[in-house]
Amino acid sequence: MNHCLVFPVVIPLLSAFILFALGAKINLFFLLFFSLSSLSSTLLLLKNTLTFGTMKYHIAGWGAPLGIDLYSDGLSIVWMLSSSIILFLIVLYSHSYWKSKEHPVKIKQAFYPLLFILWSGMNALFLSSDIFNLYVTLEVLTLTAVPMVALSDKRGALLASLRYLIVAVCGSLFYLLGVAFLYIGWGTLDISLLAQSIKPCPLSWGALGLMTVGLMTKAALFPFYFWLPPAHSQAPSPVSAILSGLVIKGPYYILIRFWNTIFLDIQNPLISYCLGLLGAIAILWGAFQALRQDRLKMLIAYSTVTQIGYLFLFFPLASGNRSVWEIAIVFALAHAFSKSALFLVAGNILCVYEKDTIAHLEGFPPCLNLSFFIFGLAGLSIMGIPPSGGFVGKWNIITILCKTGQIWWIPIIVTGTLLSYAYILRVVRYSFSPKQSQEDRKNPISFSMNLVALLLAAISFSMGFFFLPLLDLLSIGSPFGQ
Amino acid sequence: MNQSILYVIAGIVVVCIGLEGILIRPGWMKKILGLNLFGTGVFLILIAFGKRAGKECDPIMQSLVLTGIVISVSVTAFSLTLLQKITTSEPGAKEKKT
Repeated sequence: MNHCLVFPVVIPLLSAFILFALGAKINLFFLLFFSLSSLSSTLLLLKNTLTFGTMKYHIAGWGAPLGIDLYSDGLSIVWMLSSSIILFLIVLYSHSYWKSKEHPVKIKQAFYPLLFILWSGMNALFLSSDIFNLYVTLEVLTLTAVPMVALSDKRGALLASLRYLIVAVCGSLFYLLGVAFLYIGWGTLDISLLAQSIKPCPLSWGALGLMTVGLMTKAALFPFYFWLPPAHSQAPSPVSAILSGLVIKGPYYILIRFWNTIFLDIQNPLISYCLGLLGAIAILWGAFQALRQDRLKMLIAYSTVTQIGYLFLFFPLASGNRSVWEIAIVFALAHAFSKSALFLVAGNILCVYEKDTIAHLEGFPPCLNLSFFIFGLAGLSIMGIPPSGGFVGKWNIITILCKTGQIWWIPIIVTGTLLSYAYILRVVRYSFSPKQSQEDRKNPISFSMNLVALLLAAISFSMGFFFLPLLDLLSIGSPFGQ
Repeated sequence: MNQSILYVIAGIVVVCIGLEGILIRPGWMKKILGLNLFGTGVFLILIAFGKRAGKECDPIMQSLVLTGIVISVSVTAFSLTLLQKITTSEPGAKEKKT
């Protein structure tokens, strides 16, 4: 039964190779088959985790000190499940998206193999219990995400992807230096063995610093966010949805994992406060920038900068009370679903208009009615209106802040929330403007494109209803202590 | 022991030169070269650490570096291709060289 840990890594990888070999022959049947089998490998793991609890698999039977282990607990399962659902839906969306406009066939041929390798890398990242293996999966994510940005042949996109590549590889190399520090100090690369043996000393503080800097660069926290808006806005829309929704959450997951295992006993409240402070600056700066953008996808990308700020605000909160991390996960997942929905809607809008300039949305044609509704629905979670996942996150942050008396964070959260109302409503208000005379044009948005975006938005909006079962699932193997 | 410390210091110097290229020097080619140097410096530090850890050379460190080199080669190849595409797509590609 332990073997089911291997499938979520191997099946998407095999699918990627087969899709690459198929080349121009890729059609909906193949895509459905491979994405469904990848999704079901995750579901099988979910079923086994629910029955047997945490699982560990020694690859090739080598075992922990020397070999590489795969390990699944509530934390990894929840992330894997959400990322698999999002990637599955985006496969469906992109099939219609590439057909809706004149996209060169080679985009499609390159996109699907890259997407499935990214899927495999994502699953490997969530399952790894080896810090060097995590470095490899981070690089797999980088080397699939960057080519996906470069898929749109525009010069701006190529420049953005080169910048993204350089920044992301720098982040990984800092992380790798941290790995070297940990290995020289304690002679193992396994997370659970390191967590048992690590002691506070300059070597472990050095590792903590290097890894945190590297991972926060890759997660686009405030001073290192500059690569994100151009890369995420220039990419084709299904790619933007993957990048903003999932890829930046990979490093964040690793940070949470390390903060609760390796760095649990050596972390300093000062570092947590610094991360929280950077998060607070990101919340205000990102929202302010989002208000100033005149292109829709830039606005959504800056909204991601803001939301990453909220995610790092959980670090100072969790220093006394580790159950706070559960709320952080719910918030991050709500953002993953709502942000991918927003970018898919931007894709729908780009199918109708040539450019995504916000001012041109005045009096949009009726085929975009549903898209604007979805934009509003996903925006509700970004703003934090009940019962969305964003509400659950923000409400709990404020409650914890009041209980622990750290009320100086509250004005920042309130201001950030008000600014997010402003930038979401900047787009939604065009739904209320009078319609211009309608020319008869064919509706370029197919049913499945709207359906996928609607599903993603609905999941993020209704997360408040099923967040208790989600917490139960998260607590398998108690990744955040008792 | 002393020798490995020398290598660690050399590695740190190479890392700093690489970071200088990435952060300060204008021009994409210099940044890609800087990235390469940064990676090489990190690998040098890793190898030197491996020698320090025991009396013998630590094979695990060497295998880690080998994996790192493979990744670094593919990153370099990809970034150079990207740069080539950028420079050919530039309107006045001939005059302005990186």
